[in-house]
Amino acid sequence: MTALAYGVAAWLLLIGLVGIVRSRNLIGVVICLSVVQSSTYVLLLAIGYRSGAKAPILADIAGGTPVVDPVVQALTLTDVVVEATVTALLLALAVQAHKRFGTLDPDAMTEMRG
Amino acid sequence: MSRGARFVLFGVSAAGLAALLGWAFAGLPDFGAYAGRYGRIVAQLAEPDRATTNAVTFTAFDVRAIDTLVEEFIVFASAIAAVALLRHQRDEPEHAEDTDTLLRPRTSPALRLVGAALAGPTVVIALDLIAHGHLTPGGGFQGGIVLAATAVVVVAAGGRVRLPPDKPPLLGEMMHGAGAAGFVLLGLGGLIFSGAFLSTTFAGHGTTGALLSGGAIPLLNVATGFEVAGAVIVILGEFLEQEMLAMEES
Repeated sequence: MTALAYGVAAWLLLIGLVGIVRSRNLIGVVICLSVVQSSTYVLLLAIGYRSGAKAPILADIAGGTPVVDPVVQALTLTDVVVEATVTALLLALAVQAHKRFGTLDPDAMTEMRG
Repeated sequence: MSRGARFVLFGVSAAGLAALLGWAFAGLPDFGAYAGRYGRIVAQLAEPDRATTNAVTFTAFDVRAIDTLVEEFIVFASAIAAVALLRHQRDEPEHAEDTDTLLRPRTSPALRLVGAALAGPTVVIALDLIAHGHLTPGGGFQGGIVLAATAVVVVAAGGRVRLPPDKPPLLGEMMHGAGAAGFVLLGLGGLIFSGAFLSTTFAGHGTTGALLSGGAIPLLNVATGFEVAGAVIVILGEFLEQEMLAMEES
């Protein structure tokens, strides 16, 4: 299980980077970046997991039951929010790039014009 | 740099990165063998100290409240930045039609029917998520996103949303401004009434499990919900308007 959990995180990071490098479309770059960022969610949640523990919602479980780490879950929440804002900004930049260059292919944008 | 050379460079670097990752992960504790202290302490404190049963919300809005304040400002700033980026070149096409005229020929009756049917329930789910954030899974961020989804559903259902080019979508801007200000004011309330910025105890404990419990945490959730929903509505409104301007030109 250890290899699987951390392996998924590493795989998401690397495959997202592959996507960014290969992409011929700025929207694709943005989506691949969110794949890269999702590797951090997997990593954070994997680190906070305790075998046999419950979710940190204390309403329905008896006191003293082990729960998984709520701190990394809150960090993951922050991570998701930041990812969403970054995606919004990058998509806005993609819209502007398309207006200026008439294309979304990053390779076709190498000629910087004023 | 040519595409081929870029791939070769990337392949070498990615192999190095993969090796480093493998090395780093080998030093982490085994999956499921979590031994951290903070998570355990926080989970133990949530119920006796603040009468909250969602330890994640307790962490985000009490233990790490100042981080969440900064996170709010990140959302706030990114909405403004998206507006600044997209509004920059809004000059020539003077009139943006209302969404209904432009979108109706492009949306199917089935989509409009489902959209109309979902609008009400979506609002209820969003308010439920926000209001019970300190008790059950949910909270301001999650509920705020769902609340903003209502706006999407309404537009998809053919609701008339008029976006004059010189006026911002006022409702969204007011919501996200009020949400950010509300969070800061609640923080100042903690400073005045219990001596520490963003201390949540000044609003009283309440009974564990009650809707009104957990001190100021539910209020912070409401502020966050408004902020997030407003910011997302502003951002989506700007993208929608770009799309509508493009539709008009074509």
